Amino acid sequence: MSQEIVPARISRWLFTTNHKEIGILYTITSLFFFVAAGLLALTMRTQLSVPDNNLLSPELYNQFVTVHGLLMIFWVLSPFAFGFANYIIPLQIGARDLAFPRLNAMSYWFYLVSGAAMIMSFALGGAPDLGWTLYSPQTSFKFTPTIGLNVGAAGLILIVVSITMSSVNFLVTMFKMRAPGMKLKHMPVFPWAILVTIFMMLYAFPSFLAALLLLYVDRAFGTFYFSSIQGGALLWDNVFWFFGHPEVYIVLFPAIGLIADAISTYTRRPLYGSKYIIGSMVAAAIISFIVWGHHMFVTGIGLTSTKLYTVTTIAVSLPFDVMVIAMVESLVKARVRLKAAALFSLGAVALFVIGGITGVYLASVALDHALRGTYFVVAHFHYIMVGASIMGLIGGLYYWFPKMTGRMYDEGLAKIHFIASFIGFNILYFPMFLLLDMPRRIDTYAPNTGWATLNLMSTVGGFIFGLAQILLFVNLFASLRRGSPSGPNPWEAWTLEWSLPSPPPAHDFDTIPTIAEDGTYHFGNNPGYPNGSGYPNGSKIGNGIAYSHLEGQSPWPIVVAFSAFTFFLGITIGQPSNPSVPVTFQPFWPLVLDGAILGVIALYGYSKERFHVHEETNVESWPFRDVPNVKLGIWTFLGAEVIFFGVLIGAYFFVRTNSPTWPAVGSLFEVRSGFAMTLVLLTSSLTAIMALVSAKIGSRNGLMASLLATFGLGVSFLYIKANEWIFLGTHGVFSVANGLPATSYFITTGVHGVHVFAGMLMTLYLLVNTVKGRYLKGDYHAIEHFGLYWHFVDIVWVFLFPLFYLI
Amino acid sequence: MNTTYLYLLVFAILVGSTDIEVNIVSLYPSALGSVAMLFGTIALSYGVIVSILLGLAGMKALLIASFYQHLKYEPRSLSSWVLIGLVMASLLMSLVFIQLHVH
Repeated sequence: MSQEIVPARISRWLFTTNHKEIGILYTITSLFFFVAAGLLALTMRTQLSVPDNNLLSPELYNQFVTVHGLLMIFWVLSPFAFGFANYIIPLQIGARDLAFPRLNAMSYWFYLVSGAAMIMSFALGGAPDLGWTLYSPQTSFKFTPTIGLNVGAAGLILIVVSITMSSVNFLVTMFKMRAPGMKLKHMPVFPWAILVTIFMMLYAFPSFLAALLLLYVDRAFGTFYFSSIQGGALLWDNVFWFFGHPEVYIVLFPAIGLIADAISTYTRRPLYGSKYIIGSMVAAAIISFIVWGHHMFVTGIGLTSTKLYTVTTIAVSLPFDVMVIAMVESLVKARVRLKAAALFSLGAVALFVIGGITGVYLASVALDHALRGTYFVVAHFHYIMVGASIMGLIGGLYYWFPKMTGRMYDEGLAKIHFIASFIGFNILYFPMFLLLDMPRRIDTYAPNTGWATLNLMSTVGGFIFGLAQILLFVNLFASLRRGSPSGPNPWEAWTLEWSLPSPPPAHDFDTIPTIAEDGTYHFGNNPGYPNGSGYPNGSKIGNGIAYSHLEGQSPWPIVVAFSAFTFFLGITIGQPSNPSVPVTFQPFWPLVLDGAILGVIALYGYSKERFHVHEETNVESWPFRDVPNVKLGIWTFLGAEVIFFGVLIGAYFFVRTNSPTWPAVGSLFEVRSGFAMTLVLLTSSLTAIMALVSAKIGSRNGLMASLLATFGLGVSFLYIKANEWIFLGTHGVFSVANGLPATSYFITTGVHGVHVFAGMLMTLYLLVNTVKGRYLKGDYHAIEHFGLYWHFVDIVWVFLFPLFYLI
Repeated sequence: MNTTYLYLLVFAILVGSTDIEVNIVSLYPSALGSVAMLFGTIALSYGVIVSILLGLAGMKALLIASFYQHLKYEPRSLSSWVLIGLVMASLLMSLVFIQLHVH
């Protein structure tokens, strides 16, 4: 067994960019948040165990409910799965790391600091207390004046940034870095599940980010998107649930992929209909973006929409039927080895069936009217989120623990853990199906409601489930030191990670494996597996590709994340906690400045750092064979930006078409001013493309002149824009608090202006390097990548100009 | 065509269409519900003018993406990839529009 001796210095973990170590960090951190969210849940269950209980005040109860939900959804479920994805996916597809290791590290540190912000909100005047859906208008400053919500929103913004970086990284890795012969169709179900998940993340989370931004600006600057009649609750519902429903599948699919592969392993046979499972995931992912209205049946969205969403919601259940049938069919006449991971997987399938079927009830408008907002809904989504996702992911922890540590866990204790968890789970949540007249989120209830027995039962189940998890931690922690060596492939599994020693060496593969035409890997000497020729001897670290855990370290990802944390904390904690005070932006400037300065230093250090990424040639990269990794990453990021700006523009359309009147063309915004800014930006696009032409032909002077012109035009654009803002703000035309035309104008053009400013910083950086003689001839890629961003910013303005100045 | 000339031609079209956008504003009908006449013969309602403006914006975006961002010369897989974002954003706007205006 290969086990490299590496110093257990803390700096190894702080500065690591190795995918396996980051995977371990994700897993441990998500388990920490799991415990935190679980303790909140147990306290809530204690509060509800008897009627008229006053263990928690109503305010604190609401905070616990909200933060429990937010932590579980954003800081536990997906990160738990992405701990595995980080560790396992490169091994399963035959890559040595993710495409952008430092970006991967940065994703993790953003995740960590975002969670810290959410938890800190308890100490800053009270955590968010509105439920995880953060419904408007309760989120307005008038109804929730605490800065805790601002800090919580900052935490959410930071984690969306983390998720977006992670999505781009995984997409590029999985499309561009598969081992030779590892065609997409040959990937196991788990990588497919992650691929579909990050596709949904990429397009769902920007909508949430835009919604959070609008919410934050409403709260910090007193704008009116969510506190006006024309926007308000319905606008929030739309942009939130456009993200929120795919999010359910985002947290579910990794577990389904994991369960599917585990079933295959423990039944020692190929998964029945694996391609149908994958196809069903793709179908469900697509449909998931057109079902969000079923969360809004009681908002008066109209009969046509109601019918549309009923049909799509019922339709989205069909792919899940296919998945379950395929998994069940895989078990028919199989000799299942009932290891802990198999038990958790099978248990998760059973619980998922219950959660799924009860979800179909809610697709019915009539039943939804009766059941919405009751504990029936709480039971339904916990059967999905905890029953399917958490149980499946715990199964994954048992499944891959030997691979990650090189040690076996105690199987007997793990089985007791499963039995206690399964029984505790059902005692906890099944009674909630029967509490279908009890409103969710109430902090207590009267004795004569008839809810006491079922609530007490639920609380007992909650403690059984919670205490059972102690067995998990005791087992894994003890096994780390005392577990017997696992060997490379204790489960006789067939996916590629099991071909490596446990734990795998830092560089993963001595030689990148080649996958046969039929998709088999030809490793292992286990009965029932063809072509067994013995495990590769992973102890051979050599042939020039090995590197240790201490190589590829970078201090900058954690510094960038910390600077962002400081900056966001600074702009959120200064808000006065007094509803009678008019809303004014009051950041805590020292923190804001510290964060900004540190951020600039960190980004500069990041860009100047010599960081080598091992890139293999001759890998599978369909369908993006001819697209370089960085370019694909930038286009993927721009795809997310399209959704982000699409939501901002959509919000503008929403409030505008809902408003009975709107200022006439030319009455507020000078058409000449907009025209001038448009010409300036269009010209800057021309100079940006001429910079690329100059770089390609090796003209340093041409490159410098073009970049200088681009920078100058950017300055001109912002100068005109700033003058317009100042004029509108100081000449009584309107203020930011003067209605939706101002709100939509300032927010949308402000966000665009920030993008222009970021582009100008990039131009400056390119200019400095151009002076040093870089980017000429074959070294032009940085200029091309900058251009892709700059032209995108130009395209956004091409739409903003007519929307705000001409119609 | 020499790429520099192509870029200049695209720039000329972008500026020209922006000029058309600005001048179209002068055609706005005096009252909502009425129409303005183009060349004395073509009736243009407010909705038609807005559609023309957004159509011109779309055309300009297409030109920039195709030629300045080189999507026209990239593999079809990449341009399709980029289109997904647009489809998603359009989906969101379309369904919300149905909610608001189709009962």
